[in-house]
Amino acid sequence: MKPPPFKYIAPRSLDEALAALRECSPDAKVLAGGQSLVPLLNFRLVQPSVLVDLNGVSGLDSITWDPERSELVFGAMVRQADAERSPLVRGACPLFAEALRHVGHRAIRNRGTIGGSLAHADPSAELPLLLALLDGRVRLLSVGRDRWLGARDFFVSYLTTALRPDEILVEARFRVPCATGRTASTGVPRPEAYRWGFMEFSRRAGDFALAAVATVLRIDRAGMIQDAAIAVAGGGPTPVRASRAEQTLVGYPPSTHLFAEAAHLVVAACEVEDDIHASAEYRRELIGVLVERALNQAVAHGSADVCGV
Amino acid sequence: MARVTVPPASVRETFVGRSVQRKEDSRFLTGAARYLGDVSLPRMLHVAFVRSPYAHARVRSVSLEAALGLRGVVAAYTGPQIHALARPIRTPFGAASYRETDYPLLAVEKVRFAGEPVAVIVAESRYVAEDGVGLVRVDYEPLDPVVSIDSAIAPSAPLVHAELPGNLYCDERQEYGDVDTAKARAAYVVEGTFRSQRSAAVPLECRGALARYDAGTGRLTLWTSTQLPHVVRYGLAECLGMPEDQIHVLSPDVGGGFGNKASLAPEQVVVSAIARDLQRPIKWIEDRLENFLASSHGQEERIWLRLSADIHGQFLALEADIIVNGGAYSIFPDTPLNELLNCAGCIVGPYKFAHYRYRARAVATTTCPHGPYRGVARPPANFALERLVNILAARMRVDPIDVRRRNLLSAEDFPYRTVTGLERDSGNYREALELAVQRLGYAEFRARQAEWRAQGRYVGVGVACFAEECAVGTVKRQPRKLYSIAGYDGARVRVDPHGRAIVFSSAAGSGQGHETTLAQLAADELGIPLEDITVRSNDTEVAPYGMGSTGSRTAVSSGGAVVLAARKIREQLLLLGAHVLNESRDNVAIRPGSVYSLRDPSRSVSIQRLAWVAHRKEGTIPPGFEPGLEAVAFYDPPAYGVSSNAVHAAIVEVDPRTGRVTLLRYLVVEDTGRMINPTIVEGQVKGGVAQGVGKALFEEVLYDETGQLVNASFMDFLVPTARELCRIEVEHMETPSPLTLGGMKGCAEGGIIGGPAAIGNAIVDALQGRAEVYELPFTPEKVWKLVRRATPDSPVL
Repeated sequence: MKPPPFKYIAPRSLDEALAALRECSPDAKVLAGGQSLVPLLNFRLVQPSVLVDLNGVSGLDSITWDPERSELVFGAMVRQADAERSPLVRGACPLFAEALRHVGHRAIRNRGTIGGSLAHADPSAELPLLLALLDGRVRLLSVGRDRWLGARDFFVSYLTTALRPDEILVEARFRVPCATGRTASTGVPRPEAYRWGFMEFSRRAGDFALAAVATVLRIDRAGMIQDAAIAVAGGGPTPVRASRAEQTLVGYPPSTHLFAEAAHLVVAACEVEDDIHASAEYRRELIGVLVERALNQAVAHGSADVCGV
Repeated sequence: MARVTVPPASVRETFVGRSVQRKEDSRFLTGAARYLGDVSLPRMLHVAFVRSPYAHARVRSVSLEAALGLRGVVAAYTGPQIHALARPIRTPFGAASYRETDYPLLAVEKVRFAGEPVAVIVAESRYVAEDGVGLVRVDYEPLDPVVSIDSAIAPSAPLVHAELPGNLYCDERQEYGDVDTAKARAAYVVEGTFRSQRSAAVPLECRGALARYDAGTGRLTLWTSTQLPHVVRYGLAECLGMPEDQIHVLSPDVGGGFGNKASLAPEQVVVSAIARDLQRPIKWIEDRLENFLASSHGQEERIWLRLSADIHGQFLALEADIIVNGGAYSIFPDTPLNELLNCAGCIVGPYKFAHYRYRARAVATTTCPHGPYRGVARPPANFALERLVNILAARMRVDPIDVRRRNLLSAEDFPYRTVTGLERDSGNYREALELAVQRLGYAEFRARQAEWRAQGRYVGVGVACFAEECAVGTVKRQPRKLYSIAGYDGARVRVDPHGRAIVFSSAAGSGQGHETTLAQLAADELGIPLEDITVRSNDTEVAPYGMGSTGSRTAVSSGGAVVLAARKIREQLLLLGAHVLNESRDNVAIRPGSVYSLRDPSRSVSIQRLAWVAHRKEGTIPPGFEPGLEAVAFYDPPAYGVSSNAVHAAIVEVDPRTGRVTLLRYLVVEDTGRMINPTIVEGQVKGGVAQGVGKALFEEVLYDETGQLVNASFMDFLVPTARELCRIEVEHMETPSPLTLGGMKGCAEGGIIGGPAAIGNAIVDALQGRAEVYELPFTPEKVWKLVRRATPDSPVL
């Protein structure tokens, strides 16, 4: 459990980092919080010849709110614990903070980063799930190239993304649905508020999810669902966005029957396989149960708006 | 009647029985403890092992050339090369059907489990050694693996060892009484096949060894993280062909053992042999992956059990067919038979069975060798028996508590020796059950349970009763030919000229608090305050010969030796005190800090002064009095041991849609005899309960059908954390054993024993008895499947 030899580069700026990566790719790996990469190195499951450490690079650790696009904006090196505790995140998107609480344990979140988790692309992890749910996008930089990808294009397969060897994921944006034009500070109840639900099932607190489901609903004054988003972690090689299930919900009032139908459609959208923690059959059942529970939680949340800004 | 506010002097002035703070805590809690990894020697080299990726394969060739060419690699050895330096491990065991086999130090010709060491690289650092491992080329010819118990006994199974036909390490049969005649009276006969998963002890500190050979004296020193320094030395001497006295085995602080450090590891022999060969210190620190793959696993058993009872539920006879998955090699000193025969012996439980027969087999498979894990056989045995008792109760349509009430040993039964030779010396078997029922609020719970069910909540209660046999002496061991295991323990007590005492003990703690409990025992005998007593152990050089710390024995066995040695010093202090006080020996007594005159208690002389005099610093000593204050004593525990007893009770909630089992309450009522330190006893109980919960709900070493261990990390091997547990309620009862010095019994293993059965019974109760659980652990998926299977005609939901 000792890593193989590698060259270690600690750039001070993003330009230096990108230059180092261009010079050394495809044999280089980018080190962020190290919560997945370092164990992989110690098990010698990855053996890069160069490690480019982003921890000394300035300017990648800010959390901001883009009011025009209604987006939460994270620098890639924002620690998960800082995001979890950020008043901005908690206010703008309580769902986001709730989901982060399920990322490993506190000690892991103290080091683990937003960008690192997205780039690692474990399909049972919370941050990829949020990127899929909240129509998020990531900014990928390399020398002479700057591009944005949404979750659907970014996540390719299990632990595989569209990141090229010379690219660095520098920023991630998550769109927080807000009832039209409203701001949170008024404290006025918003009947058309978006509500959220988050349900995760793991064997122990802090483990990777066997399955997790996040949902955002908008229910109008008449009690009809107007908007719905549902995403699943642990439902396949990438996070799953269940659009057919979402469409099924729209135009109807919440009901046990409706949610069961939605759950059925979500499960149908998933491609699950047996693994050491669960059979595909059980995981499908679990996803269905979590969908129903997350939807019910969203309804029960009432004024606990997904958008607090 | 006047209320007694001050305890009597005899209680007030003793250290035994008090929850004094642990003497070792400050260094453990401040990070000042020193473990094997902290020990470094000049010119030290490091090793890394080349381990087999196959469960079963012929080794055609091993090429070390490329590795030897790597800068920083000093040497490398293959199996044949290492066996030119030392012999494979062999373990005798006294059972008629047992066949002895070699446990090679490094594989020769064949590998028999994934993770088995095939070669070893010696280098300037562990990093370089691991780089060297990557350069070793081994040509394997894969053979068919044999992974499970069922596949090992299949007629067509490939043979793991040519010397073991049918893959059987042993096949023992025994009948006590007359089972068939007894069964003829049975009104109820229940049976089931119960499976206990493969467990891993996962001590926080993995194993390791650092060997130094002194060419000048021909002596070998082995620092190693072990529970059994004397046993390791015995085995090492045999493998290395050295006399025992030329080997010194010692441990720095040991970060947990739980049985995982109670065996002689091939790696310990390998580093010793290389240290002697290269004449440089050699260090091996096991990493977590190695610990999972290749240390030892425990408690994998398949138990078929049949229980016959009369119309009143009185037990009549018991029949068992027990198979242990012994893994690839017979481990030293336990062999797979320790687990097996312990199971066959203890499965009679805290009950009376005159009629019992068993068949007991240990099979060889291409998996990591099977070794001791906390509780050895008792958790699987208790799981099978206590689940079956509940199944009987369900058949009889009576409450499971009532069946136990009718059958538990009662006060008038003691002393009782089970047909299998376990000493139930004393205890509170029935009383503990009644106390548990009362503390649980059993009747009220039943009422609430019905309400919860009406609300769609599935909550259940389960209990498990057991007796924990511990501290077995030498007599019972002799027929087993376990020559490496002393069976008794030794202590040396030395009082220095300043009146401070050092206790040297053959115990070998791994975190239990021996530095406190053994000092408490000595303090009461010597009249020396606790802070002036230190305990040294885990070292063959400082301790008298003895066994070490396994099998819940230290309080009884090492404790007994400390008491005996301290009493010798006490007698010397009294003689000397009488001399100084000008009294006769019979007219003086010891009290904390001094020897005093019984005729005039105001006349006394301090222990410090006596120590000063005894060491001939000043004053006179009686004629014939040997200078110094030092004594050695040995204590052999009762031949058939003694038994603690306990009741574990769990209340759980089952989520029928996900199968998740949540612990709501966990209660332990236990009687472990006289407690030296109640807080330490409670710590033992609670730590054990956490492991029992792990065994019931979370932990399982998983091999796939090719013999690959697929969850060899803490990410996938699920040890419960504080978040998965609930508060653990502990009630103590205290029945001193009439057989031991001081009345102590063992308490180290009880905590883990009752969890699987109590939680299993609670799950079945939550599911309204519509499903039975037979297989550990009760994962959410398994429980979910049970719920589904239970539903067709009698839906649980």
